Amino acid sequence: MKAIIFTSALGILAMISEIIGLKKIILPLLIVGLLLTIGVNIYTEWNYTQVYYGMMLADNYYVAFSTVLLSITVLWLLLSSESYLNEEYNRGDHYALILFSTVGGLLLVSFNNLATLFMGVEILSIPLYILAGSDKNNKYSIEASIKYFLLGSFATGIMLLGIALLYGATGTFDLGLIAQYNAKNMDNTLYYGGTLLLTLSFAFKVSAVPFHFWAPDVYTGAPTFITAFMSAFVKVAAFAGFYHFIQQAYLSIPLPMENTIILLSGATILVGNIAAVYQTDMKRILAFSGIAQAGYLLLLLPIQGELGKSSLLVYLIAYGIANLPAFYVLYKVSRIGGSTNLESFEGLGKKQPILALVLTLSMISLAGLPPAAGFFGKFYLFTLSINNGYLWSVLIAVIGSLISIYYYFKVIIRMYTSTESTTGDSSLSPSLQVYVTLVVLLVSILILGLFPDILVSIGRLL
Amino acid sequence: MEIPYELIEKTILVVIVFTVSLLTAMYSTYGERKISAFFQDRIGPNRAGPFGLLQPLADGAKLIFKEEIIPISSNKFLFILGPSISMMTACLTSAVIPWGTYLEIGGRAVEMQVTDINIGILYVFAIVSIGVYGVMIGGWASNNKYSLMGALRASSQMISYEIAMGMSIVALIMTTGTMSLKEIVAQQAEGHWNIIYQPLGFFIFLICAFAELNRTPFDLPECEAELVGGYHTEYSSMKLGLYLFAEYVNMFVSSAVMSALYFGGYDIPFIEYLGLSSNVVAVLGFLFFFAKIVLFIFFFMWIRWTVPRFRYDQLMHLGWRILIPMAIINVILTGVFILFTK
Amino acid sequence: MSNILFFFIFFSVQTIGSAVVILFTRNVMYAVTALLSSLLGVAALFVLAGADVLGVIQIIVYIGGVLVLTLFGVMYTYQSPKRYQESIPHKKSVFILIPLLFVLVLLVQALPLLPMIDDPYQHASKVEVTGMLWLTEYLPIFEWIGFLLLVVLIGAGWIGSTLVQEDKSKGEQV
Repeated sequence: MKAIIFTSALGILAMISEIIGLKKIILPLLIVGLLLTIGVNIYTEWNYTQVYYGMMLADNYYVAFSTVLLSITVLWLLLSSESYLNEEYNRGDHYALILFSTVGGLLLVSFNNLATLFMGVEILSIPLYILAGSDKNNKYSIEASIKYFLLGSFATGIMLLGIALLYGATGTFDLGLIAQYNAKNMDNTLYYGGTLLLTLSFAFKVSAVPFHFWAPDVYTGAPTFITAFMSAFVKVAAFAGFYHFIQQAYLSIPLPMENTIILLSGATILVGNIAAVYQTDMKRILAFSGIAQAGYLLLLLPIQGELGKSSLLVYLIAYGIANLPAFYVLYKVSRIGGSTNLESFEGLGKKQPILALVLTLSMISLAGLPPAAGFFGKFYLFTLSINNGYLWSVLIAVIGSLISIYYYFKVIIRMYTSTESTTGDSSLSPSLQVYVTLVVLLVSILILGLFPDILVSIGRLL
Repeated sequence: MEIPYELIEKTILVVIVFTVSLLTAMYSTYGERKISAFFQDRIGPNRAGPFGLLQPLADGAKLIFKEEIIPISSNKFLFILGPSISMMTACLTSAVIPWGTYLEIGGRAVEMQVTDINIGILYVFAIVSIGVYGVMIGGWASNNKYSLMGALRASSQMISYEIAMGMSIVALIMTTGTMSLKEIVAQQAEGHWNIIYQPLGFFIFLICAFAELNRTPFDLPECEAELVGGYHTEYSSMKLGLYLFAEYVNMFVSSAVMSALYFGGYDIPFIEYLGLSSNVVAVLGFLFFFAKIVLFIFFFMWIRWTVPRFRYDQLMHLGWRILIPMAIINVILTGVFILFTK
Repeated sequence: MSNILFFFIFFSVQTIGSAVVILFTRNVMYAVTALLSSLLGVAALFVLAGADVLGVIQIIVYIGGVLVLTLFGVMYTYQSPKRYQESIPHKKSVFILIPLLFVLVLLVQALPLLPMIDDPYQHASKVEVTGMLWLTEYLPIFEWIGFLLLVVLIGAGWIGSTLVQEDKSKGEQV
């Protein structure tokens, strides 16, 4: 609750920063504020489970994932600061919208009531509909915004219908009471219709096949940093919310739902990976890679208990910290080369060795190879799934991972094999704060890859 | 067999209310012409009947028997639907207005209100918000640029002023604590009229009522200087009649709502000292209520023939930048007042 | 058949029938009018179920607010009504069938609930209960809705502002 209030207040501060003359120092102010929020949140809420007004459940799960979400926002603010240096006109509004979206994410990992879930999804999405179209001179950006908005509203409508059906079956919005109902009578079509619709709308938010059509276009059209936020933050929030819903609303996951999710997962892994192979635009590759990663994550959802939670935490953190720097490099390259095509990456290893190193490591992590964090995330996830009996699905997932190595390495190879021998353009090297952030990210990718016990032990406490 | 007294009562009441509102609206047209004549130093209608009293009937007959023209490029279904919605919504609102206390007939207390729903004010608002559609649909279906512009103006004006109107009502509800019109009127008995507690709210409500009715000085949707006839440019015969008539019915109803909300409805101050029987008080109350309504209708006409029309930007400026902030301030003031007096 | 069941069926048919008209009509204006009728039907159903506040709010918000804006959109993109009436073969059967099947399954499930629909006028009005619930249990939701509206307001203002954008768009954001 405190984190939500603080973040909202920071968002409002960002909004009025231009009026009250804090325009110049708003970025450090926000970052310090968010770090304080993280600290206060952990200090006051950890190991102190509480239900606020019957609407919010603040348990360890919430603390862990709210910390992840807030950290992603902080990292995003640091990395994206460069793109705002020469266009200060809408900085405050951008930051405000990003922080408001963060609040939505926080609601999504803590809801204890379906009404809160709906508010969380809306507060998370609406700022992003706007931000996706924030590059108003680019018609692709506007297209992305409208596509995202229309399809997102459609998904929200399905979610509302699902909530209504659940209410019709159980007579309550409270997740705890719904779980009790679920334990008592297991065969009610209204109930299953409701959960099915909710699952589908979540599948849209996490861009699972066959609800993924919006993702590539929206990711490509939106400004790069907004895409980064969507791909890192929204995916983490949506998955954490999805998992939270399934955990809270079911004492044991019903078979139809389990089968649906496993089917979605298989389709998502195959389609995401195979489609990514044929892309020539880096943004689209990242979009499809995001879809494929959603497929792996879907495997986790039916797994209940602390193991599932810790695996989700590990995977989502690994995904988030690998994705953000990749998008930063993409932004830089597009500034140098003028486009996000794969050709722009040629010779990056010589021109900008630091950026190339960053991208290499994040690609390795996304592909799930040691020693990066992504390797352990995938390893943990697959073992857990096999233990739960999803052997065939894991087989599909492994095949998908093998395919994914091809397109992740395509980028790396392009960067280091080039006939050009240009010297580095120092004007485009990252600024100090970004540099530090990148180093931190790289080090944490490596540390989490080499010493995964840190996260796993935290995950066991959830 | 048990006689369904309540059904019979309500049916009679509905018929009476319907007739009274139509008659009042009819004679409002006559009143308007007489008053405008008075303001312009003319005589006004004086041919049909004594003092021209049959003039509204003559007008009605004329409208009915005139040739009916539906433009070929218009959308016939929607063209007919437009005035129908206007007239229907105009007549619907009067269902919740309490016309008096109750009459004792044969030992039964007969309520002088068609129905007392406990969200009466919200009901009025809901009906008003449907009323926009009559103008919009009619204006679009005519397939004429003037109609379309008139309809757009009408609807944006009505939506804008509905907000301020709603906010002024919020303050009123805060003081009364109920949304039932009957209870609101009952609370104002013995002279405790709401106008004393909510002067600013009433002022805002009054201005918004002018705008909602598309009356001068806010009659931009049909201003003849720019838009020929506004949304009813293409209408003729009784369909035009229905549009014009709906405006007068609306005027009657909104006068009734204003009297009920702010001026005590059927309450006559100090009547209790006269020691009259309750039936007489009820009838007198109804007449007094009617007198208040007529006064408001006169006020509407007075303004119409005195104040010139606003410009469109001035209208929007007034609505969004002056009335809505004022209404919000009114709500806050009311809240503070209640907080410190209770 | 009790009175209430008769009205229930009447308004259900109105709601669903209008919704089907929206799906099949080629004329945007007809679609809006049918939506108006459908929403009114829903409001009537709310009132029948004893939720009079919800019914009236449905009218004020959806009919008085949302649908009017839709109508604005239709009017500002004005075209001759004839334009909308071009005949295009209907190939929507699949899109109709799936929801229809879904509704059918739900109806079968809901039929046993029908005896629950007794005369709602026997119950006291839910206005006070609703108000108390809104201001106690669901207060956080209200706060968040306010927050959401703030976000929407900022977004709307931001989308609407074109003046600042044009002269400062040099540092493009890819």
